[in-house]
Amino acid sequence: MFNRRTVFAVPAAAAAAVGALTSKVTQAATAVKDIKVDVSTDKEAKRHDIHTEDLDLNSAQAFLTGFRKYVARNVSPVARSRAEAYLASKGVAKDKEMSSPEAYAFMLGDPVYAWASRLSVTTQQLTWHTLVEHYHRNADNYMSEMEKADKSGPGTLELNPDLRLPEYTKHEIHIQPGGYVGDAFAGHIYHSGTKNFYQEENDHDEIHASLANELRLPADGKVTRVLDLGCGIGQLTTACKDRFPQAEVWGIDVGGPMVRYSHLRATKLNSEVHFAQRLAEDTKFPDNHFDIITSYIMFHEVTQEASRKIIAEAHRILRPGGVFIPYDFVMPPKEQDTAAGRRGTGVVAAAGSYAGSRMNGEPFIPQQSVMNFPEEMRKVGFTTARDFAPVRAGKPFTFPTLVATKTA
Amino acid sequence: MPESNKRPDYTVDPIRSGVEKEVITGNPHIDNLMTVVVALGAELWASKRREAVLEKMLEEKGVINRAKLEAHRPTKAEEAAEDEMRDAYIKRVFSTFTRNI
Repeated sequence: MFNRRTVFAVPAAAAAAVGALTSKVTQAATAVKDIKVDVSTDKEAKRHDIHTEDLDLNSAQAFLTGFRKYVARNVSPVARSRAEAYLASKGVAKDKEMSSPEAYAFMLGDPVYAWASRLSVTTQQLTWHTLVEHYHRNADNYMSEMEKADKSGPGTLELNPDLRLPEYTKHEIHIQPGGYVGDAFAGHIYHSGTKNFYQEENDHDEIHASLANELRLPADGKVTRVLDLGCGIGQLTTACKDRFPQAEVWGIDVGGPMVRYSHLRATKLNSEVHFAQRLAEDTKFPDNHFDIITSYIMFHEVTQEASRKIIAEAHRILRPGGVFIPYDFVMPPKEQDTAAGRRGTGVVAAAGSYAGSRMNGEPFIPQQSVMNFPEEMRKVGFTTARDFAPVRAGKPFTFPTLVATKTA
Repeated sequence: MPESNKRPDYTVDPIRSGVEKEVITGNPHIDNLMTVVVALGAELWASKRREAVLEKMLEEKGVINRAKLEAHRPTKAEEAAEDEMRDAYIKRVFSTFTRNI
C-alpha cells in the first residue's frame, strides 16, 4: 500500500542548520513539506522499527494481530448477523431502549456474541501481558536506553514528578496494565501493542504522517510553532516536525513514561521535537504562542469537564488566526452534531458501546460521543469549520475534519 | 505491577480496569479456557515460526541433517534446561487458571 510513495526523511544537517527556532523563521509563509512514507529500502524500513529482539514475542504479537483481525472480520460479523434473530427469539424489539450495561448483558445471552466478545478481550489482554512481561524482564536494558536518550538530542525532554494528575488520567486505557501513567515502560508497551490495533499502518507512523499532511494551515500560512496535545508516544508530533521542518514543535502528555519514550523515539529519528509531561488543560505555555495545535485521539479518553478546560486552554495559547485541529473518533462529522447517529441506536448499538468502553478500558467514550465539540469551541471564541472531506477518506482510521480558528 | 517497575517518580498508581475479573461467557471456566486456547495459539505460532526460521538458516549453511534432528536425544543437562523452559512456558500459558475472580 505504501510503495507508491517515496522516501522523505528530514535531513539532519538541514534540521540542525535551521535550528527550528522561531527567531530564525522568516515572516513569509512557512516551508511545508509533504511527508512521504516508503519502506522499500532497508534503511527506511528500520527507521521506525519497533520490533523487539525477541523472535518469539514478535511472533506471538504477529499471531495476535492476525487473530484480532480474524475475530473482527469473521467471528464478530457472525455475532452481528445473529443479533436480530436472537432479539426476536427473546421477544425484544431491536430498538428497545436499554442502558448499555443492560444491553451488553442481554446480548451475552447469545453464545456467539459472548465468545466474540470474550475473544476480543482476550486478544487485548494477551497483547498487553506478553509485552509487559518482555519489557520488565529486560527492564535494565530498556531503562538504560532511555537514560542515555534523556540527555541526547536534537530535541528535549521535560518530566514533572510533582505534577498533580487528575483522576481521569489514571485509568488503564485500552486495559493496558498501568495505563499511561503507572508503568515505567508504558510508552514501549503502547507502541508495540498498537501494532495490533493499527494492523499494517503503524510500523512507520503511516497514519500519523497522513494526518500531518492533511493539517489545515492558518489563513496567513505562517507556522512557526506547533503543539501536539496528549501526544502519547509522539507519532503525530514527529510527523508534524517532518511536515514543518522549520517550526518549533512540541508534544505534551500527562503520562511521564509516554513522553520519555517519545523523546527516545524522536532521538532515534533525529527529530528535533520537544516533549514535556504536562496537562493539556494547563500547558504552561504563554498566551498567543502557537500557530497550530493538534491532538490525535485524545478527546475520547478524557472527560467532558476536562475537554472544556482543554478547549479553553488551546484558545488561550493559540495566536490570533491560529488553528486547533483535534483528530478523534468522537469529533462529529459535518452532518451530525453528536455521535448518536453514527453509532446507531437500539440494543445492539448500546451493547457495542459498553463493550467498547467498559471492556476496553475507555470509560469516557459514552459521554464524549454526545459532546458537541464545535459548540464548546465557539463558546470560548473559536470559529469552527468542518466543510472538508474527512481526513484519510476511504482508508482505515478516517477522521472527520474539524478546524477551530482563533479569531484574528 | 511487575517487580522491575521501580516506580519512577513521574509515575503514579493507576486506576485498575478490573476487566480481568469480568466473566463474559457466563462461566468463568469457559472464559479461562478460551484465553488459554488463544494463548496456546500464539505460542504454537511462535514455535512454528522459530522452527521455520531455524530450518531455513540451517539449510542455507548446509548444517542441518533432518534424520539426525528426528533422532535427537538430550543430555541430562540439556534436559534440565528444557524442563526449566517448559515450566516457564506452562506458567505463561496457564496462569489464567490462577486468576481470583
